[in-house]
Formats: sequence, structure tokens, C-alpha cells
Amino acid sequence: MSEGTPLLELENLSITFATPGGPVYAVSDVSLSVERGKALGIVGESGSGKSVTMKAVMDLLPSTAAIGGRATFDGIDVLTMPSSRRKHFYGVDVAMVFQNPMTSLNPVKRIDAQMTEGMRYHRDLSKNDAKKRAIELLELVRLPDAAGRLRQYPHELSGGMRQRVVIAMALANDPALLIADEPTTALDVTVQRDILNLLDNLRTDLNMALILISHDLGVVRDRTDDVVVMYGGRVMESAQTEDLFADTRHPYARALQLSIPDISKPRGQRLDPIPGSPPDLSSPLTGCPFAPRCTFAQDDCHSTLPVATPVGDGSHTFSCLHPLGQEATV
Amino acid sequence: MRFVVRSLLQLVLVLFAVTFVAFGALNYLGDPLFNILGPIALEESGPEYAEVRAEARAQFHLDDPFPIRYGRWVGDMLTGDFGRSYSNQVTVRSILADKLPVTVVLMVYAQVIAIAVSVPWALWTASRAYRFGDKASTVVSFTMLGIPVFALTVLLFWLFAIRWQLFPTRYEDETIGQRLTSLFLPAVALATPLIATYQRLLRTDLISTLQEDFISVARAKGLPKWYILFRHALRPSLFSLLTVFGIQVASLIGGSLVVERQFQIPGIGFEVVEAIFRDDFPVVLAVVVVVSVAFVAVNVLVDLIYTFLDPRVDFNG
Amino acid sequence: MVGIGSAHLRTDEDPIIEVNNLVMEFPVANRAVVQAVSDVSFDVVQGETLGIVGESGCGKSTTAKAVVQMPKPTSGSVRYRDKELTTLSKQDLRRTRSDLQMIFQDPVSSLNPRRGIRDIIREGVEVWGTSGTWGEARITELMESVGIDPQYGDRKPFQFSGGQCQRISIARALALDPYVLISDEPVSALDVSVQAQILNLLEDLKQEHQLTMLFISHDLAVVRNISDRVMVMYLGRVAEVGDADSIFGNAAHPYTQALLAAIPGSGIEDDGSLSGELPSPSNPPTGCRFHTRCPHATEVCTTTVPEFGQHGPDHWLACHHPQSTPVTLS
Repeated sequence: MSEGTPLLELENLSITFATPGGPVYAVSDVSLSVERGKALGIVGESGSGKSVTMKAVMDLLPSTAAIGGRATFDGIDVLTMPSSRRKHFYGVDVAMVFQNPMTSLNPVKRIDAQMTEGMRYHRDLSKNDAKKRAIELLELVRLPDAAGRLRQYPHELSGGMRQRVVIAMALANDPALLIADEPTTALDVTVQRDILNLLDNLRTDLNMALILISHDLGVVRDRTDDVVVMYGGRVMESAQTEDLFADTRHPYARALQLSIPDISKPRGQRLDPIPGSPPDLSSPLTGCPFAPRCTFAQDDCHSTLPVATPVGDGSHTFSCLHPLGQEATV
Repeated sequence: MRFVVRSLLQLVLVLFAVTFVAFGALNYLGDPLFNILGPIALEESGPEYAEVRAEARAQFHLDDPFPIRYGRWVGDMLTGDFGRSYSNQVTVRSILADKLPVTVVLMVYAQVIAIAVSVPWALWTASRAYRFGDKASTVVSFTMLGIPVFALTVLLFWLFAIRWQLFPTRYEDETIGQRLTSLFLPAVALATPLIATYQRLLRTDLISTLQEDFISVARAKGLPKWYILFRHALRPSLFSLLTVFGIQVASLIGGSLVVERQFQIPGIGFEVVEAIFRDDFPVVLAVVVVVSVAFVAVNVLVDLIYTFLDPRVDFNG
Repeated sequence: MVGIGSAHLRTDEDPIIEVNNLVMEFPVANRAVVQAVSDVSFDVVQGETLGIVGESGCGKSTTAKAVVQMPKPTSGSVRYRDKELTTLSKQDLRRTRSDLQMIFQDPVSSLNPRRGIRDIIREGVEVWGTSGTWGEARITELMESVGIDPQYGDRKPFQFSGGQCQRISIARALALDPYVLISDEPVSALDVSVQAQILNLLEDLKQEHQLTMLFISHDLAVVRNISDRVMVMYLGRVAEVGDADSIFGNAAHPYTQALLAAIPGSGIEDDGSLSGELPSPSNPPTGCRFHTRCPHATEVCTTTVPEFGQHGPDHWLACHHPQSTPVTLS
């Protein structure tokens, strides 16, 4: 990770869910950090723990989840915050945008009610001031006819417009950190580009930290300063975005890049899928979670848990016993 | 506009179907003449009463074929004339005017109690779904559903009116206060199964609403729990409850037959039970009409509330 | 826009599917009619894969479903070999449907949750009354060919991952020995690593069973990987159609160009031409339906629906102002 004081820092975060079938080890030993004004990408497939990790930070996990490790925000321990601090932490210091704009808004409440409730609760704004601010925010996210939209219901807006509303809503109390969980996955490519551009601009203009969770390496590649690649609830590789793509060390990070069809290659290009299925997290791992699907795996991979190993100055780390060398870059 | 037309059409169809069946059933299964004339209506009572019988048959049009009698009844009904009671010649309208208000108050009372208890209860259980309080509530609500209304009535009456004497044993209606006190136990008896039904339905809908993304969004906004429950989760969860609320109007009337009799409340439920035993067609049919109209009206109201609850519901769809 | 006439239909070849002037309209509230598909014509030759791309609401799925008469089109003709499907009797249509099989986006919900997967695969064959010629050995063989271990035949769909469920639904489709396989976003719900497995599998099975394929996707890279020919749709009409290499390498329709430019990491400069909302399909723009978002639109585009013109050997587009500078993918 890059130097500087982190705004959000996770140290050895672990999350276990109690289920009728026994514990599920959703996240194990995850450490990452993001600075003010920077964008961090978290990449992984379903079950990698990328969303669960951030939901833990946002206190959105069900009561069946047990969280271990530390999460600090601006020096305060998020997981053990006193309730006086908690009361105005979520939705103020940290805000979150979710994957599906079609379901992120309450279908039976008008846009204005949904946009102003957070401001009114946290900052005690009057109804009118809150409405003025809501219009400003909708203009900030470039929603056409901002004032007119306030009286509308969510179903009267398109998916792209709704995601703008959700983003505007998240910005209501000037958060220092915005967590975006697959914010464009449910949207068309053309809308996706607009929304990602918008998030980019907002981050720079508002000097906000952005955590962009995505399964799409392409999305993260263009838009983030640092990347964390997760698999099976663990961090596989973590680096400045450029380094990760230029000098991939972890076989999973590389396999992920290779499995995506390349639009510049003509038809018939044989893809290199990752064999097998995602890992079963209901038993604690003795070795590398990726070992069963890894073409480079050796005997020790199944029995020894790899630790984060630095490359060069330490901003780039990978957790692999048999990493790829320089020659393996894409 | 289409909504109004559709509602009226619905009303006409329901009224026709219900009254046709009721009119037919009463005519084929009962003997009104006996109720009009008493024992002399029977052939065995002797030929000397033949003339009286014939007169009565003519007066009450009992010899006309079924379609004509039904048609005449419908025609009269449309002009607001429900005829006279066979047994005491009092107009059915005055019977309705006399007895209906008590029953309406009783039913509204029961629904108000049911909603007032079930909604907070459901909110409470949904917010702690599958934990102890919720599981205990499930046992309680199933018990409430399982008790037959007549048994509950007896139990309530004995405990609260006789043993602890908290409520009057006889119906009193001098003042509004008396009326509400007298009707409290019967209303609770009627409301008990409703409370349990509404609580179950609303709890289930709330639990699934609480899984929705917009609830996570609201939580991520840092809004307090009670606010999310009341302002975000409640409204989109009311649909099943509302649908059943409309349908329950019918079963409430059934319940009032039992309850009014047991608490000796001079309502329409009490009256109709008597009328059925007497084969007093005009009274029974008038009640059937009133119940059908009330049922359709409440359900039209429910449709209207849908559109208010969810802006996506198309008023004219 | 875009897309009237049938100049792009191949007369010299013998198409297995020929769709002419297909129109699909659905009544919605307030007497409005959604014009989901308006005057679409295309053909597919035996053994070919036609990819259909476009943003959500462009009518690509509706078009594909219209081919199998689900539901019957409002007007137009759909020919399969020598049969006109739109006028076929219910019974004949039912018989023909086994030749045309579909697989869907959500593999888990498209399988009956209460049946074992072996039964699910056998089910279709029983319905068609041809199970006599069918042995259990054939089902085992099919399961193997899609990469599902036959020993798990008694398990229920929920015991499998999304990717495995998609394999099962492919096996179910193939059990009827179809000639045409219509795939509606078959990999959109899957993780990238699994997506590649399914794409390779479809490609292998296509060779093995000599299938003709209609492949619907919003993901241009995926379509690029699997399609011989590509049809780009916009708001119920065809914008550009032709040989995949020609469409991707030499896109001349402003809409296709904008779509390509919007892909993350495409390296194409973002001219922002596609910002703005998709017009309502119940009230589509006059003339070329794309003119409201097109950077090159002129007067004629607002008044006249463009007809198909030839742009290359197998490359057709409906545009008044075809762009000569192709966009190039990096």
C-alpha cells in the first residue's frame, strides 16, 4: 500500500458466521488500508469475502457474525466505538453505495424523503434546508431536472438515474470514506462508465477516500490507486494498481486476468478458465484456499498457510508459497 | 374512472350471486307460511284454515314462480324496500336501523383492537425474528388462533364479567362510555383470532422486507433502528395484512352471530340467527344484502389503500 | 433507428432460421404500448453462432424468445427450416420446440428445486415421449459431457454452485437433441472464472452436436469470444449486423462505436456521446431511434428511418451517417 496515514485501516480482520451447519469462515486475517483522497479496489469473485469485509466495517452484518481483529477509522476503533460516537458515524463519516440501484431505494417513499432523512437525523437540518441540499446533491451527481425528481418515486427513474440518487444520498453528510459495493454491476456498460467517472470526480473534488468493490478487473484497473485481490476470505495479493497488473505474483490474480475474454482478440480464442468451483468455507483451511484450483500448487500448498510476502519496498505483497516470477506478467 | 366503474360492477355481480343463492336456498329449504301463520299453516290443522292460508300465500306472493318472486324482491330492494318481517310485520328497514349500528360498532371495535395490538406486536417480533421473544410469540398466536370463538366468549365472560366483575354482564347503551365498556369483551373475543392472523402475516412480510437492499441502505445511512422499522419497513409490508383485513369482514360477521348471542347484544347477528330459525326470509335476505355491500365496500377501500401504500400499484390497472 | 428493410438477409445461403419484419408489442398501463421489437429481420445459417448485443431494453431477449414463440410475435414471420412457426398449430409447434432449446441467465431458478438433477435432465425427454429410445446411459453420458459427475445425479439443484447449475441446464437442453440453442445471458450471473468454463463448454458442445446458436449478452467481450456474426440492437431495432470480426474491428454505426468505447479498459477515448437516458420504448424517437443520443445526428435522422446499407462483404448497418473512422480496440 502507498505511504501516508490511512483513513481506514483493517488489521487481521476475521469474520465467522454461525450457521445451523456449523461455522462459516467468511473472512480470515484481512489487512488493508485506504488514505484520504485515494481509491482502493477490492477484487474477488462471489464468496471471496470482499463485500462481507466492508459490511463488517459498516455494521451491516447479522447478529450471527463474529468479528475478530481491528478496524480503525481515523484512529478510532470502529468495532468497539462508544455508542455516542457510533450514533453519528455511519452515514456521516462513512457511507455506502450498493450493487443494485433497482432495490436500493424504498419503492414506497418519494426521492426527497429518502434523500433528506439522513441529513435531518444527523445534522438536524430543517425540512427546507435539507431539500435545498438534496437538490444541490442531485445536481452534483448530474441528475437532470434535479428539483423535479424530488417529488418522484424510485420506479419513475431509470437504473442509472437511481444509482445517481443512491450516490447523492450517500454524499449527504460529506463522508470522508465512500464504500461502493459493485456500484455498476447491474447497469449497462454505457451507464457504468458515467457512474464510474462520476465517482472518480467526486473523490477528487471532495477529497474523499473511495473503496470500490468489484468482480471486474477492468473496472478496478482504470479507477483505483491500490488493489487488493481476495479469494476464499483471504487477501491473495495487494499492491498499487499499476504494480499488480504489471508484476502479478499470485497465480490466482493472474488466472483471474486470463479467464476474461479479450475483446480485441478474434473469435475462437480459447479461454483459460480456472478449473473447479469456489472454495467451501465451512471448514478452517490448513493451506492456501486457492490450492485445490491452482495449476502451480505443490504439496506444501495444501498444508501450509502462506503469509503476506513483500515485493521490493513492501507496498506490494502476496500470499503464495510458489509465486510467479517477473517473466509471468501479462 | 375505470376504477369506479369496476368497483360498481363488482358490487352488482356479488350482490346478484349472493342474493340469488340465498333467496333460492331459503325458498327451497324453509316454509315461510308456518312462520307467518303459526301452526294453522299446516295442512293437518284442518281445512277450516285453508282460506287464511290462501290469503297469506297471496299476500306474500308465495305461489308465484321462483324467478318472478326473486325479480319482485330485487325490484323492491333497489327502491330501498326490504319488505316486512314475516313474524311481526315490522318493516325490515326499521329492524336494520335498530340493530345494525350496534353490530357495526362491534365490528369496527374488534378491527381497531386487532390492528392496535397486532401491528406493534408484529414489529416487535420481526425486529427480533427467530430469537426467544419471537418464538414465544408464535406459541401465543397459534393458541389464539386455536381457541374457538364460543369457548373464548364463555371464558372471557366468566373471568371478567362474573368473577372479577370488571365489565357489565348485561348490554347497556345509555352513554357512549357504557356502550364501549359493554362491547369490550365481545370485541376482544372477535379480535383474538384476527390479532393472531394479522400478527403472523405482518411479521412474515416484515421479516422479508427487512432483508431488502433498501433497508441496508437505510442502516448504512446511520438511521436508528426504530426509524427504519416504522418509516421504511412497515409500509411495504402491509399488503398481506390488508388483503386479509378485507376478507375478514365476512368471518367477523360469522363471529358476531355467536358473540352477540352469548353476550345478549341486540345486534343484527343476534337478529339474523332468530330470523333463520323462523324462516323469516325478508330479514335474512336484507342482512345478506347488507353484508355483501359491506364486504365489497371494504374491499374496494382496501384496493384504494393499496394505491396509497404503493405508488407502483396502478389505480386503473 | 435503424434497421428497416431486409437488404442484410443472405439470399445465397440456406438459413436454418429466418426472421422477417418481427414486431413485438406489449400493452402496458394507460393504454400505452411498449414497442419492444420493431421490424427486425435477420437470418442464421446452420452451424453459425449469432451474437445479439445491446443495452437492457433494446429487445435482444424479446427477439430471441420470439423465435421460439414465447410469446407469439405481434407480427412478422419466423421460419425454422421449412416451417413458418408463427402459423403453426399448437401441437406442431410443441413438436418443433424440441429442436429449439433455450438456456437462461439464472441457472438456479430455471431448475426445479425439488427434483434430482438426473430427473431434471430426463424430464424433457419424457415430455416429448421419446424416452423409449433413451437409456440411462445416455443421461450419464450427457452429464459427463457437461462436466457434472454422474454419481451426483440424485442431488438437488441447490446443492450445486451457479456454474454447475448452468451446466445442468445445458445438459437438459441438449437431452432433446436440439438443432438450435438459444442462450439468453447464460454467463451473466456467473463469476468470471466460471464464466470462462461455460463459454468453453458451449463452444465444445457446439462443435460436437453441430449446433446453431443464438447468443444474447450485454457483455461485448463475451459475445466477441463466441460469435461468428454479431447483431447490435438499439431500442427494438437492429443497428448493425454482420461478421463479428468486421463489426468489432470496423464498427461504423455510432451506437456500436459508443458501446465499444464504454468498455472499461477499451482504451478508446470517451467522447461522452452516450450519456443521456435511453428513451422510453413505449414512445420511441421518430426517424432513427438513436438520434437523441447520437453525436452525428442531423435533420434527416430525426425524420427518416434509415434503411440497411452494405458496409463490407458481410457488414450491414442502418445509419444515415456511417462513420468511416473505425474505433480501434487496444
